[in-house]
Amino acid sequence: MAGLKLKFKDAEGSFKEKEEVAVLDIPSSKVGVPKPELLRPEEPVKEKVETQKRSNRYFYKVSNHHELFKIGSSFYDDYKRGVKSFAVGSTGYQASQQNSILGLASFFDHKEDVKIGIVSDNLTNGAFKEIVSISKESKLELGDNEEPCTVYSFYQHFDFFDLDELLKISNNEATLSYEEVFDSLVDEYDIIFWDVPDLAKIKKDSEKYFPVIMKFESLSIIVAQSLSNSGDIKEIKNFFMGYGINLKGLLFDTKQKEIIEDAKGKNEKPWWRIFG
Amino acid sequence: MKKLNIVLNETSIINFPFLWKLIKRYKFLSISVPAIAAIYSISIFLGQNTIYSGEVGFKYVNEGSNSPTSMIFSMLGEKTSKLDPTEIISYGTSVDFQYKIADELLNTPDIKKMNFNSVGTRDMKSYDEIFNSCGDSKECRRDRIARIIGSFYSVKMDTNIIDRYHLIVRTLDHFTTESLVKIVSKSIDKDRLGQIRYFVTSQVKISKELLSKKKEEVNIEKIKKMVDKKASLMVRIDALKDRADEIRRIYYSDRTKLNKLETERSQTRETLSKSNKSSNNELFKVAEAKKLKEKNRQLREDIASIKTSFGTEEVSGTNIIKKLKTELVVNERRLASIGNVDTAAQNERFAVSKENKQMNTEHDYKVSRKQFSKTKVEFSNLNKELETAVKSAAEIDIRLKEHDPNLQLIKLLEQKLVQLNLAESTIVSDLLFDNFQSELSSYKKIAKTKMIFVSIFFSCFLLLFVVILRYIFDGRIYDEYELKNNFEDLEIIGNTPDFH
Repeated sequence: MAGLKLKFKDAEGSFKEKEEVAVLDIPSSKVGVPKPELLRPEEPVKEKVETQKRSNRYFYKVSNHHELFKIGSSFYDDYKRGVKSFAVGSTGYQASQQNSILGLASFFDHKEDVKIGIVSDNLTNGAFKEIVSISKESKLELGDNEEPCTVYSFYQHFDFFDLDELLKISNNEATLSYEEVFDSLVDEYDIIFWDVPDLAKIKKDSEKYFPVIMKFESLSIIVAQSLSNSGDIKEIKNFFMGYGINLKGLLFDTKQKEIIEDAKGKNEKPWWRIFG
Repeated sequence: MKKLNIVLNETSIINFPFLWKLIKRYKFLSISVPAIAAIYSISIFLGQNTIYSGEVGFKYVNEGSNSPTSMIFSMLGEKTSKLDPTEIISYGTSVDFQYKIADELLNTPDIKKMNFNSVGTRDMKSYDEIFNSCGDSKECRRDRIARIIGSFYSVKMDTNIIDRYHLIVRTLDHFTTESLVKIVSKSIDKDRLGQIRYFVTSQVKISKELLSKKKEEVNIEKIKKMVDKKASLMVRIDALKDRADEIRRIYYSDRTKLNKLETERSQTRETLSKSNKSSNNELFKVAEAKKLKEKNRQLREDIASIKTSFGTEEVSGTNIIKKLKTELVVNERRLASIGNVDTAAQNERFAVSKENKQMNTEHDYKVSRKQFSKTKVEFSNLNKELETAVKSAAEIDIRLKEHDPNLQLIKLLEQKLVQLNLAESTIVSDLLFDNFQSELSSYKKIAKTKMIFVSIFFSCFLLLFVVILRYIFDGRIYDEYELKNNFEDLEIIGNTPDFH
C-alpha cells in the first residue's frame, strides 16, 4: 500500500516511525490495481512478550486442517513479506468471515508468537461470540489523548476490538483523530485481521469507513458455494480495487450452504404437514 | 459469454460433463422439464383423431407417344399445352381448383354425410354445426368448403415412376375419404381437359382473328384479277412460243433454200459467161482434133485390114502400109500439136446443158425469195408479240411478288386453322387416372413409436435449453471450476476453515 509505514516499539515502549525500506516483490497474480508497495521490516518483527500462553484450543477444533494449512501458509508468506493487515470480506456471510479469521489467527498463533488483533463490527454474534464472552475485557488507549477503547483479550492469543467503537472514537469531533486511532491499532499489533462489514453498510457511510479501508493491506473475499453471486463478488472486488487495496484472492466456503439449509430445515415445517 | 464458453466445447460442441453437472445442480428443472414434455406428448398422442387415408394414382401421358391427343397434335404439327410437375402438384393448393371441387361437392346428394372437420381438430362438429352460420346461402357454403377442402387432399409425385402422381385424401371419416377421392380425381381430369381445350380454342380464335385482319389488309380481288391475267398471258405466251418455233423452222428452211438457189443461179450465170468467152480457135482445134482422131482411127483400121489381106511378103502391101503409117504418124503429130481438147469439149457440153436450165433456175430463185420475205415479216411480228406478252407477264409477276408475304401468311393461317379445328375435335385429357383406388387405411397422425422418439428428443432438447438458460442467468458460483472461470485474475487461496 502506497505510503504505508511500519511503526516499531522502542525500548521505552513508545512507537517510533521507521524510515521506508525496500519494496518487496509480490507475485503478479496477487497484485491488484494499483500495485501496493509494501515495506519489509529491517529488524525482527516484534519484541517477544514474556508471558505464558495457554494452548489455543481453537486451532485443534478446525476440522479441515489441510485447508487451514494451505490458506494459512499463503497468508504467512505475505506476513513474511511484511504484510500485517489482512481484511476478510464476503457477500454477506459474516459467520464465514469470522470462522476464516479465527482459523487464520489460530494458525498464526500456533505458528509464531505474534500479537494478533481482530477487528469486527459484530462481536456479539457468530464465531466470535463465544470467544469474546470468555475473553478478558480491558481498556486500551490508542494514540495520545484518545478515548480508551474496549479490548477483549482471549488470554494471550488474540485481542478483539469492536469496529463500531473504534469508528466512534476516530470520528469524535472533540479529538478529530480519524486515522490516528487505526494507525495506533496497526502499530500496536503484529497482525491485524479485519472482519470487513457488509459492503452496503460501508457504501452507506463510506466517509466514516475510509480510514479503516485505508488500513487494509490485503483483502480476501469469501465465496460461499452455491450462494455467492458472481456479480456481488465483482462489486466488492471493484469497490476495494478502487481504493487501491491489494486483492489477495478468494476463499471458497463449501459449508455455508449446508449451514443455511440446516437452519432453514429446523425452522420450516415439512411440506406434507400443511395442516399441522 | 464466459458462461457460454464453459458450456461449449471445442471437440464435442457441448461440454457434456459440465452439462451433466448442471443437470444434477438444477434437479427440479431436470425432473420437471422431461416430465412436462412427457405429459404433453402423451396428451397430444391421446388427443389425436383417427385419420382415414385414401389414394388413387394417375399418370401424366403428354410426354412421348403415350397421349392420343399428343399424337394427333404432333401429326398436325401442333403443340399441346404441357404440364410442369409443380403445376400438377399445385392442384393441391390452387384456390380456383378448390372452388371447383366445392361446386362438385355441393352437387353431391350425400354431402351431409361427409365429415368436414380438420384432421387435427379437438372439437368434432357435425355438418350442420359447421355450416350453421351460413343459413341457406349456397355461396357461403361454397366459400367455406373451398377454404377447408384444401387440407383434405394433396397431390404427390411418385418417387420411382416418372410422370406418375398420387392423389392422397385424408379425412376423419371413411365415407368422406372415399367420396373425396372420386370427386377430386374427377375434378382434376375435368379441369385438365378444360385447360387443353382452352389452349386449342384460344389458338383457333387467335388464328381466325389474324386471318381476317390480314385479308382486310390485302385487296384479294385485285390480286385475283392479276393472277387471272397472268394465267391468260402465260397461255398466250405458250401459244406464241409454239407458233414462233414453227415459223422459225420455216424461216430457216426458206433461207437455206433461197441461199442454195441464189448460189445455183450465180454459178449458172458464171458458167454461161465463161462459155461465151471461150475462142473460136479452141472450137476449131476441137473440130480439127476430132477430124484427126477420126482419120487416125480409119488409118489404123486400113493398116490392120491390109496386113490381114496381103501378108508380110507382099511388096505392094508393104508400101501401102508404109504410106498409111506415115500418114498416121503425121496425123498423130498434128493431133499432139493441137493439145488436149477433151475438157474444152466437156465444158462446152455442160454450158449447153446449163443454158437450157437457166430459165428454171431463175424462176425458182424468184419464188423462193418472195416466200422468204413473207416468212421473215411474219417471224418478226410474232417475236414482237411474244416479247410484249412476256413483258406484261413479268410486270404482273413483280406486282404479285410484292403481295407474296401476306399471301403466304394467309395461306399458312388457313392451313393452321384447318388443323386446329381438326385437333379441337379430338381432345382428350392427358392425365390418366387408375381405374381403382387403393384400399383405405386408418391411422393416427403421429405414431406411438414416433411420438416416443420425438418426446425423448424434445425433452432432451428442452432440458438442454432450459438448463443452459438457467445456468446463464444464474449468477451463483457452485464450484472452484466456475470460480476460476469467473475470476481468472484472482487466486483461489483455498477453502475456508471449518470448526467442529
